[in-house]
Formats: sequence, structure tokens, C-alpha cells
Amino acid sequence: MTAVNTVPKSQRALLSYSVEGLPHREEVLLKSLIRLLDHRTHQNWSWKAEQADLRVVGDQVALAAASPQPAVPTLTVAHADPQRGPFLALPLHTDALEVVLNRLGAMVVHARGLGLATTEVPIGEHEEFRMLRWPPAAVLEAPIRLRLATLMSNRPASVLSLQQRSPATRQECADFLADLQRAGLLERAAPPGALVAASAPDSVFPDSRFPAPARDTVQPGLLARIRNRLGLLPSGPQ
Amino acid sequence: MNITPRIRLAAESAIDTLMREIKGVKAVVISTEDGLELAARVENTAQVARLSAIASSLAALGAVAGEESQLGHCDNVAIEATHGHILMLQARHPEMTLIVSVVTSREAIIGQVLYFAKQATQLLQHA
Amino acid sequence: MTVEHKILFTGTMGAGKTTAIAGVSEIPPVSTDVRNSDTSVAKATTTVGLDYGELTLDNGEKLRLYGTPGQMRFDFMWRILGRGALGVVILVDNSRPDPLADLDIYLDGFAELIAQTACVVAVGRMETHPSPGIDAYARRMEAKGVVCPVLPANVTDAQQVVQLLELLLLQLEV
Repeated sequence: MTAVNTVPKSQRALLSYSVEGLPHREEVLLKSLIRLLDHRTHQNWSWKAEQADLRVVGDQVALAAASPQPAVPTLTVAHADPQRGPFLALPLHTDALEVVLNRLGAMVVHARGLGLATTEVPIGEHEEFRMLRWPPAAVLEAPIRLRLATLMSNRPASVLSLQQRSPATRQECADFLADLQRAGLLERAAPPGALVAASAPDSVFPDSRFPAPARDTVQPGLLARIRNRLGLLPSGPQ
Repeated sequence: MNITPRIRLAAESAIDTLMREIKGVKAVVISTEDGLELAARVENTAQVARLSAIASSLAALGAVAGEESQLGHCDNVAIEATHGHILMLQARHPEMTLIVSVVTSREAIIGQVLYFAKQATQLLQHA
Repeated sequence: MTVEHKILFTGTMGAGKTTAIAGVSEIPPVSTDVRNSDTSVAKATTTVGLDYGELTLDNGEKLRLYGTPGQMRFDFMWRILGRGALGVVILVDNSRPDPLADLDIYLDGFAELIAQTACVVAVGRMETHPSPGIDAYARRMEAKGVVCPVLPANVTDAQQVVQLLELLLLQLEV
């Protein structure tokens, strides 16, 4: 049995795995075990429908033709070893699963470092992205990320704009966007200057006695005064 | 809601009286102080769909106004509109506080409305 | 004339609106609580008008904190109070039977305000009622086209209420 994870959570890589061709019961069990093992595995694993860092497949799934990215490891889970690469025997055991996840995870991280395994598009500093959903706890592990995610809540942001609006370093902003991308939570925003619908349709409030709140820009200095009153630190780079 | 039959009967009776006695009455609604309708008689139900909730908010704000101005308890809130009036009174029964709302056309005489509404409220309070 | 700024607190009965405001207001909050006649909720009182608290800023202007009634029958108050607000804090009680359905009510009821300003969702009682989890909330909000901070919070702790307000303000920064 391996020791409890000593890698600080904020430094663990966030990896994804997909599942194909496993009987439903085994798939459900596999996902539960991986979640349970999260406090022991060297990387954080989350399920993704496709284009994951690791493909977990049943022995009926043909490999070569189906794998568009040769650098993505494939783990076969079955009763008998088909001798075609990484293999995990059924019935599933947590110890064996932990060992193979750590081994394959290390491979993925290494390949990433060499620029091989990436299915991601590199993120340019000025490129604007939209966050699709409030991120899960695994992505929000560092306190600064709570701020970054909040800044992305109602408007698109780029690495640079995040850096300008927060105390985060450029690397922290880039890492955050990269992790969002890996979690499938990032979408390219319309280029600056493109027209965007400004407000919700009128039909939301059909009752004209109560006119919609006007979208005024916030009075300059107001937010700073409120922060001051609440005893909060000023926002922006420090 | 746990409304005793006695109170419910008293409410129905109060509505009967008010609909009968007040000239120009359009609707009478009796509701809980947290805005749930207890009993109502009305020309057109759509008119009073939310009157109970609105009356409870107004009664509560009236109470705040009364306290802030140091005038004591707010007994009623009166609204004068283009085509009529709405009068909302509090009936403080020991078991629960009710709000009696009376909607009238402009032809109603405010003094008369107030008189009968207060009388009905008194009866309700002692039900 | 004093310029006014306001922030709304909304959520179901018992979610902690009055408590949250009381924690940060510099005046004892004004409330319009009356006896609750709804026997399905074990709470003695309910807000039928508004809760009101305030903070005075260093230039004399006021930040007004309004708690709205929680029940849908008071949605006219939501619209009245929402006019010109800087944003809304939605408090959810995770111990209720269907907290995600509760959230839907406020996402719908304040849809326009949320689209034009800022929103924070604070989930209470998660220590004793961990499910639904935060991610379930995030997905529910995504389904309504809302992306905003959602986090566990105990509003009896004034510092946590301040943090909620900070997350609201962050979204309003230019």
C-alpha cells in the first residue's frame, strides 16, 4: 500500500480519463474507485467524455484505428490480458488501480513536459476566453483561483486581463486558464469589438409597471469605498 | 395554515357584511399577515390574485412607518387610485393577525368604507 | 440628495437573509417579520416586506442592504427592491428537500438583475447536509446560463458575509 499523498494538492496535475467498452457496472465501479483514490493518487483524475489524457477501454475496443493521438496511453481493463499494452485485471482492486494510475499519470505528465501528449491548443496571453461553468473544487484549490474564477464570472478574460485585475502572477493566470481548458470549461470568446447582446429580452418582465433596472456603469470610486468600509484589501495587482 | 373553523366562519361573515353594506365595493379579501389568502369575494378573481401578498407587505411597511415616526401601531393603510380605493386594516385576533383588504370604486364614500371595515375588523378580532 | 447604492439578499425562508444583513449592518436591521402561517416550514416568522441594513461610506453615501421576502408570492417585492441594485446574494439552505429547485426560483425571479449586474450563491448548512454538492449547483446554474461564484457559507459568521460581498464587488470591477 502506498503512502498517503505527500504532493501538495495545489501542485498535482489535473488529468482526465475516458471510458469505452466497459460493462456499465464495471464503469460505475471504476469511476467510484478513482474518486475514492483521489487522496492517494499522484495526479488528480476526472472523467471526461472524450479527448482525455488516458483512455480506459474494454478488451473489445480495437486500439490502433481508434486512437488519433498515439501519445495518449490506453489502459485495457478485462479479465484476461490481451497483451497489447497497459492492462488492469478484473475484478477491480484499489491497490492495483492506484499503481497503474500513478504510473500512467507520470507518463502523461512527462509527455506533456515534452510537448507530446497535448491535445490542447496553447493559450495566447491576449486571447479572450469565457468560463462555461463555475469550476469544481479540484480546479479551485488555491485561494487566488477563487478570485480569478470570480473575475471570469460574467465576462470573458485573457491571461493578461486576469493579471491586470488581480494580485495573481502571469503564470498563475496562465495555469488557471490551462486547467479550465483541461476540465472542458473554457470557450473562446468573441473577438474584441464583436457585437454582443447587452441585456436580457424584455419578455422576462412582461409587467411594464416595473421597468428593468438600468445598466449603469458603476460610479467611479464606489467599489473602492465599499471595500474600504468592509475592511477589504483593494483589488488589482499588489 | 392552521385556521380554526371559528375564525374562518367569522371571516366569511365579515366578507358578507362588507359586500352587502358598502356602496361601491368591488372586492373584499381577508388574508394572513404573511400574505396567504384566507377568504375572498370579488367581481373578477384576476384582480385580487396577489392582493393578499401585496397587502401583507404594505401592512408591514405601514407598521415600520408608524414606528419610525413614533406614532405607535399602524392600524390601516389607505391607497387612493384613479379609479378607486384600497383600504387595508389589521385585525389582531389573539390566535393570529389577519389583514382585511377592501377594494372600492371611486363612488364609494371613504367614511362609510372606514366605518364598516373597522366594525368588521372589531368583530373578527373577537371571534 | 444622498446617492444610494444597494445590494440584495434573497433566498428561502430560514436561509439566513436577516442574519446575514445583521452581521454587517452598522444599524440594527429593520425587519418586517410577521408570524409564519405556513405549517410546512418550521420557522416562527417570515419577512413580508424587507429587511434593511446599511453601511455609511467615507464620503457620506450609503450602501443599503435589503433582504427580500423569500416566497414567490412576493415577487413584486423582488422587482421593486431589485431596481438599481448593484447585485444579489442568493442564500440557499441545503437542508431543505430540494435546494436546487429553490435556487431555480431565484435564478428565474432575478434573471434580469443577474444578467446585468452580479450574483453570488451561498449554500448554507453544507456541513450537516453535504448533498447536493457545489458542482451540482454550478451545473444547475450553467443550465440557466448563469456563471457566478457558488460556495458554502455560514452567514452567522459576519466575516463570511463580508467575503460574499467581496465576491460580488469583484464582478463589478471594470
